[in-house]
Amino acid sequence: MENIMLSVKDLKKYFNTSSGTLHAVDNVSFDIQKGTTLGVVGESGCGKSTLGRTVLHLLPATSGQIVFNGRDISKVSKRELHELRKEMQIIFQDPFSSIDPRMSVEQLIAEPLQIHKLARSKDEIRKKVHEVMDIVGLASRLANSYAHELDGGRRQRIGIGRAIILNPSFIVCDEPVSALDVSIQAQILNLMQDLQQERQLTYIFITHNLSVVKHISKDIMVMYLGCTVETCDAKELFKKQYHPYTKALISAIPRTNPDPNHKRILLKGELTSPIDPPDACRFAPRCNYACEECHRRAPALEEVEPGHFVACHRVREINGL
Amino acid sequence: MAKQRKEYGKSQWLMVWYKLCENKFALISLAIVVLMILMAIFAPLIAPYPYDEQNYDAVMVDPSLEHPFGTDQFGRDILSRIIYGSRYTIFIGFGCMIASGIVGVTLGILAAYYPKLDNPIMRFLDVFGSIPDMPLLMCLILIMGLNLRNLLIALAIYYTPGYARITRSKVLSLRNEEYVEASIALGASDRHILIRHILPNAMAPIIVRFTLSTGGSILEAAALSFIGLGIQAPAPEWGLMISQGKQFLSSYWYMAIIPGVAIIILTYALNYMGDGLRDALDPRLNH
Repeated sequence: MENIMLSVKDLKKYFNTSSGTLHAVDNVSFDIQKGTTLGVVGESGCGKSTLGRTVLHLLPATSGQIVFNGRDISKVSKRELHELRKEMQIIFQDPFSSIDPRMSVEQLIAEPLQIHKLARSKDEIRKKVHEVMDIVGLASRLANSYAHELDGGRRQRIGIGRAIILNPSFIVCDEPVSALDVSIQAQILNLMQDLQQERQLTYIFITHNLSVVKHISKDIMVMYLGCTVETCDAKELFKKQYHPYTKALISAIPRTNPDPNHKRILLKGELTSPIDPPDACRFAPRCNYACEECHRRAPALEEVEPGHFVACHRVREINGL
Repeated sequence: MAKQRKEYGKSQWLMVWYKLCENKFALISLAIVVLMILMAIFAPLIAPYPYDEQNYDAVMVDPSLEHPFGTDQFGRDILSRIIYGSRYTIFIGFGCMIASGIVGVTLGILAAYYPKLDNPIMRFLDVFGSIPDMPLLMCLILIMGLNLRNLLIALAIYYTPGYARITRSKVLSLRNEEYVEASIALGASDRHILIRHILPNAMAPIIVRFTLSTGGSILEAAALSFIGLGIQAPAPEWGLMISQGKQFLSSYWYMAIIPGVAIIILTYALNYMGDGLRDALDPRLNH
């Protein structure tokens, strides 16, 4: 496949903790096409955010390969990384803590330009900042206001403005709407989609909210405890899920038309520890279908249907394929 | 004032000023400190007599219009000596604040930013922090020799560990803030992050420490002068004036009490100013 913006192979991120090695991201691989969105879903602590940060080199990868725009960026020098930052940006989850409380909106949005010395004069910076403020929907009268004076939606618009002022081609969105009210979530999502269409942006959209991911993604990757359990086209995933974990996730989405016959699949137990996990299916302790093999060997991702990958030993049995 | 606060675009420092204005004690204290500084700068213009002019016709006279605070055993006007003496006090207080502040904040930043330097710097400073104030100051002054410059150096050494510790802990916690990570993601250098994000946000506790330690160093300097290890006679240093006045305490108490009151007023003012600043700078009380 050509036209691939980002290709990640066997990415691992381990943390050394006092009680052992924490496998935050384990052997994750994916490709994203230019101008599309990959939704990464999973419950809290499954390594979604770590994945996003490792791809951006905010955390050093333990091993694996990251190819960005046809160029291997797994190992880059400080200077190359600095240049790369212009291409790859991140939008943070919490617009309250990710914005310096002592800087005004104008200073905040101008900061990337100053860091990369992309503007020659103060007037030029001002002009660019006001252009970006207009694009992300911040009224210019707010230029001198401070983050604590603004609501969550406006703050997140600042975060988006900071990310797009450098004209990146790829943005990691780390739960950008989960801290916002539902009404504002929709506005921000629409803004992000408009920006994507106008600028051919590529997104990794990290979230635990399945309705959001359905709305915005082309492909979806479901993670459980650092591993990919299922990945395929977004529309297809909501039609048919093959992995028991994905089934449980989808059945847990609240419905607008409650159906008394609809049975939710309830998972028992807690997340197992990601510290020094055994070579087994990570989901096995909570899985209704777990067999002996699941506890002995970790399943690999296999292509069950064209473009639909599942990591489960019993996938064919369970789904009658 | 409440209306102004709701407007957009008020900088946080302006908000701090509004908040400070609401605290009467802090505002009065600020005025006292500013007056004392002006008094020190314009001493020759304000003082009715030179600080060392002896007048044996008026020895230890009670306060009067001519000598509002009376005169000492050599007939020197106490008011003039207090006014001139504020120069020493202000110089020591603010000199110590600036010197120990710059050294301490720098060491604190280095310790927080470079884990390899953390232990050497902090343990070295702990050595000074572990000795009680007076013995440490006396030793340092006796080693270096008795003069104003060495007094200032000794006080600066005594106050440095406090600044370093407060800066280090603040910088360590700020480094983990998400907005610092956001800045790294934008490609910012360590220097940029330090100057634009960490220092401005760490300023609040450091500023409060500035005002509190200034009051402290003034007291320490007066105490050292009192025991004869500070500024030497005939300089009109307030601590020294108390020391000289104490032998006449029963017969003529103005000599000891008046400089004592001057020290109390200035240190109280500095402390209340620090308290007020601390409250004004606390965003949880602000919003």
